[in-house]
Amino acid sequence: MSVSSAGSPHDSLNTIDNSINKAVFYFILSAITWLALSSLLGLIGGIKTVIPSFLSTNEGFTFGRIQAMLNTTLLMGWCSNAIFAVAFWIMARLSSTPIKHGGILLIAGVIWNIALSLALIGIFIGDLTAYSWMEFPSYTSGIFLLAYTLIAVWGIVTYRHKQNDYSYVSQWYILGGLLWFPWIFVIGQFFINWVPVRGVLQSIVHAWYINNVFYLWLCPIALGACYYFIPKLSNTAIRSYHLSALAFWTFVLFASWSGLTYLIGGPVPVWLTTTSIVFAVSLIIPALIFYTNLIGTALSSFSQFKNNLALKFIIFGSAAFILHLFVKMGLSIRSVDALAHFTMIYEAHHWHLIYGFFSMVFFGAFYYLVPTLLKHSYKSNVLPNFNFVLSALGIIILLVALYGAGWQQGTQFANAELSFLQIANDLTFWMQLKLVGLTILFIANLLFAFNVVALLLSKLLDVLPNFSNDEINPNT
Amino acid sequence: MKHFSILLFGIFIVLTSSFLGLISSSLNQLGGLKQSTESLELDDAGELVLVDGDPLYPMKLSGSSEQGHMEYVKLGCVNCHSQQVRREELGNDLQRGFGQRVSVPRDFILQSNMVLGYSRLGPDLSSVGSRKSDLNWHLMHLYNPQITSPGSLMPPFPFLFETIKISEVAATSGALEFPEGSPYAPENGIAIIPSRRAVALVEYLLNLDINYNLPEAVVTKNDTGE
Amino acid sequence: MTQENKDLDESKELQDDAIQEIHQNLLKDKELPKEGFSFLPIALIFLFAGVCFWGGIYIVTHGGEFRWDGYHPDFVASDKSLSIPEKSLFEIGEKVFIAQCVQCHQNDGKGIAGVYPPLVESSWVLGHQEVLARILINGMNGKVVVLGKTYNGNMPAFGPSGLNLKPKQIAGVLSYIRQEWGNAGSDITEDTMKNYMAMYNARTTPWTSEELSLNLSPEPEAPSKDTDIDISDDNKMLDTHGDEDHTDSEHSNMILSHKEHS
Repeated sequence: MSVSSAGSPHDSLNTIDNSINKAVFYFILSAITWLALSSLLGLIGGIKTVIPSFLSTNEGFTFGRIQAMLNTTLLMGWCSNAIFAVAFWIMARLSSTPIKHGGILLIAGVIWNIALSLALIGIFIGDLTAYSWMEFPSYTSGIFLLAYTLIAVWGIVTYRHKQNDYSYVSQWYILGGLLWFPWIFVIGQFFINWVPVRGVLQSIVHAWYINNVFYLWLCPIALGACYYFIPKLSNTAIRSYHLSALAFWTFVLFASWSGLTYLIGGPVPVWLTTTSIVFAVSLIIPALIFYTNLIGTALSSFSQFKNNLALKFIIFGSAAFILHLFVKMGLSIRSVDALAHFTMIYEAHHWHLIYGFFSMVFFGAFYYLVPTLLKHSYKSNVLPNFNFVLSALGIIILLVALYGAGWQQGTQFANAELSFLQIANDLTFWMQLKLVGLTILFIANLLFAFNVVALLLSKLLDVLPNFSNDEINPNT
Repeated sequence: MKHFSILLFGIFIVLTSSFLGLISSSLNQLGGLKQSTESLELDDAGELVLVDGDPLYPMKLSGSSEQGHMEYVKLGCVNCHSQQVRREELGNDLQRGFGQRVSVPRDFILQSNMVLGYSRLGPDLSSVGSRKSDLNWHLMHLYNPQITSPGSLMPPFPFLFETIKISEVAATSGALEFPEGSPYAPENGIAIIPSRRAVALVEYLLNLDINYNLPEAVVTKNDTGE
Repeated sequence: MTQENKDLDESKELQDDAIQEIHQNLLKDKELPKEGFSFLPIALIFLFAGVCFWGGIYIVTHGGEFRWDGYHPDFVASDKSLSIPEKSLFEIGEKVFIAQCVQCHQNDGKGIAGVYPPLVESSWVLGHQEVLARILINGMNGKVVVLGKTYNGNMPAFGPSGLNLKPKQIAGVLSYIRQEWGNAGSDITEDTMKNYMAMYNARTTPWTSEELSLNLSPEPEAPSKDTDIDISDDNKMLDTHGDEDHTDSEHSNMILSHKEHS
């Protein structure tokens, strides 16, 4: 395989990287700030489920608001900023096109974070909505939308003006994700906040919204990153790559239709949930292809996978994702749902996606992206490796605790003799385990933030004495 | 750039199809639901008959209950409480007394800010008004759940109450009536007064009760589930 | 992949254009030649067919026939239509009365002394149907004398300007109060009520007791055969309660004045 691009490939790579350097670093720093905040909120929420009276004198810290702020910081803070940081860079790299107008990207990023801060203050003082994962007050939704439009348009423009004839599956996922999100967002806001429909129609729109934000925004972009980093870092072509297009189309179509399984047994016409069940079960097809494409590729180059930090994160995330899809299929079956509905299994399932898959993939991406952009690598890999161990451990404990708690709740719901008070009391062990998991995750996330910031600072310290030198000769 | 337009078209089709198939169609199917003037009732012979001309169901919430509903939303109660009764085989809702029948879409047509709920860390509240109809119990439960349900995972909401000094030991009107010897009771001379928000929230809870018949949903269980 | 001048250890990595080129070529070859026989695509075809087959059957058998009122997964629409018996006006009225009126007029129809007037034996209730209809449709305001006592209150409107009950419901509740607690008035039919509502729906202000007696149209003929009995019953009532002279005479005056008018 020969690299056949005009001029020095490094020059063009540097142009691309430099075109969005500032914006990417801004997004990385915002992402890790929101991540740290969200894990703090998660920790407070975890303590509250063990000691209900913890921090209960202030209205803003009541459990419902903490939960709302946690969801909002996770989704609109950490996930969004991480997506903005990584998606554009991958898109620009694969399209061999520098991102134009990086300055606008930066301004839009600032607007986005202002909207998020407003939303958090709004939730704290009680302006939250009744809908999970869209609790931000309706008056911030317009600002989010404006900022998002200013941001996403550059990803699409970059793909449109790509300098090569290739079209790699990562680009599809990222383009799709960037285009789907504003649409899902507008439909959700329109039918729930702007021109509200009434009654269960709101719940139907809400279920559709959550499902699509997860599976048509977070998942495609994280999958795009997986499809990019796994072959790149393991130096192997994707196994059975010709199936990846099938996986793309079946995954996005089936996942988008599968949202109403959240309402199984609820007060909606049964054909809605039945339709979603069929599509959710059909996800077995893309799930098997993802397994071959991602895990298969990684297993065939196992030695690389062991030694490469970023790859370890990303493979962990991919494995968690495939497991997540199988759990989703299982949960969509009526008899399983009868046990799992209203239990913590659904909460576990959301953490599974956001932490187990999305965050792990993006931790890996950051551990690759930051040194590459800085042209400055870690002197020692001890702390980053420790971060991997802690994150993986924290996620596994958290998921075991929540799935375990949910399973126990489900079996006890079926026993009408047990009162709800009894069922809640029996959860103590699992809630404590959850708190342990959240604490480990909290430390892991702080370590992650520390690692990224430390690398930035050490680069700055290196650069400052011979600043002018570096400017002239960026290739060294 | 042929594949660019194909890709865009595909991306468009995917989301449009699920929007049309799941949201538009249900808007079309359920958007026109009106309050019922018909009701299924048991006649003297024990047969189910459709009766016309009864007051309309579901009924509108009163003003302060509506305010209480907003408090319910603002305090994030929906994180742990659901408001939907499901079929008996899905968790014994009827036997637990969560309602007298399964909830259907028409029960909710007057509601905005839907709180169907997705988690039952606490019990379902669809018909809490008929299960617990004591105002003081609810206020006490909000003030500190440990008073009424020791071991509950529900957080206390002391910020919905005011602590005031009273000159005499005599009970101030509206003050919480603590059980004898409760460790959570205030000292003599101090009374806990619920704020308007707390009263509105409790009024909302007391109004929650699905006890009427609809043509598509019949009360089949008449005991209130002790 | 020979990029050895990188400062980072990228020699073991695929470069971006290489990722694309390799995979582009893979697409042309479709399958990796060395595999010879690929199990996965064939298995996927069978799986896909299986999922489609199962999904189609599942949607048809457990889809509630795509109806808005199918909530059970095993829902089957039944063609058994429910019999819809007409409830009598009295029964409809009883429900409306319990829902809307008992707070003031009480279960026994006796009202609360000095605050809410009684309905039992009241000549307002048993008198001219149009007077009652006016009160119900638009409400009533100010002083009113019932069974010799003066009340001063507000009767809310139940027509479109108020609680917006249907003609049948108002007719029902009026028939109910005219026949419960030993009252022996006639039914007020739905048709009669519709006529009155057509006349007074537009009015937005409540009536006063003086206004009520003005401009009355003739009492409608009661539809049933026992019209005469009803009317005579009415008269009997008026006669037998001579001790409540004041109201009764006022009531008679009302009717008289109406007759003079017409």
